[in-house]
Amino acid sequence: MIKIFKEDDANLLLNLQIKDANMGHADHFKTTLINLFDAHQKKRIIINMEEVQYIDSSFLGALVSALKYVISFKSDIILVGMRKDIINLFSLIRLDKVFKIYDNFDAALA
Amino acid sequence: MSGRIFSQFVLPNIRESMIDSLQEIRVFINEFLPKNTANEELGFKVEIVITELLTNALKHVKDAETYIRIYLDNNYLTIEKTDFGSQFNPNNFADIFKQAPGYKKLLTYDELHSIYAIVEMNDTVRFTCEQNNEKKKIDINGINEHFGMIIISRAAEAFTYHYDTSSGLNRFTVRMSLT
Repeated sequence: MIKIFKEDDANLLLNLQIKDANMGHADHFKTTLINLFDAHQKKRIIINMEEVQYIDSSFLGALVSALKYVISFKSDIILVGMRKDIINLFSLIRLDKVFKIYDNFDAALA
Repeated sequence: MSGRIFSQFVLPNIRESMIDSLQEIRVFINEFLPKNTANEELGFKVEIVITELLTNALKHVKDAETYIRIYLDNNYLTIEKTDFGSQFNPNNFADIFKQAPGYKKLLTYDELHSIYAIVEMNDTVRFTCEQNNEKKKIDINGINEHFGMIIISRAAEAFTYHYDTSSGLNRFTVRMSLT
């Protein structure tokens, strides 16, 4: 589900490899993400979402829950590569005020 | 309900079959809506509204089938979800039907949104979503992790719930502008 793309001193770059980010994946995603965060020195996480075609409220809840955990260690989760309609959904429910969103890994790292 | 019925879907309330049901509805939406930018955005909104209605059904409707009907009338798309399961009653929500039309109750509140239920005529309740802290810095720990009601009420022009006491019918109705 989550594959490590790259790691540097401060960042852990991940590819989210699912098309439907829905309630069937939400719990497993959250657990896997938090385990990766803990196992990689609590570095800043950057998730490439370009494979995700669709996202539901359960998965959004898992993302927010993971962000709360990560922020409690003064780190962060950044989202990149999201489809326009998913960005629109984030904007609709104001999660664009909560997550930093960039076009791609390079833009997030700049 | 007025308008031309476009399609009806009968959905068993089983988590595993929800993906198939959604796929069936997606195919219908993609065939039904013309391919242009505005309708692609609408298609996504329709899809996520139906997903959240179905997720809600999985949580609250036990041992009863759910019906999704999609209507078009003039420039509006109406999605109606009905079932004969138990009355929708999380946190004693159903007590609101004892109140007079116009009564407004806060259902949820967090750093981003407040959701209210407003009593209308004929045993109908309308849900509205208001933004909170528009200028203030958001505290992540003050954000609710349940987004279903927020998504529907923000995506829709109108989002209502009706309970028919005589037949035991639950009806959620979501009305979305096509323009």
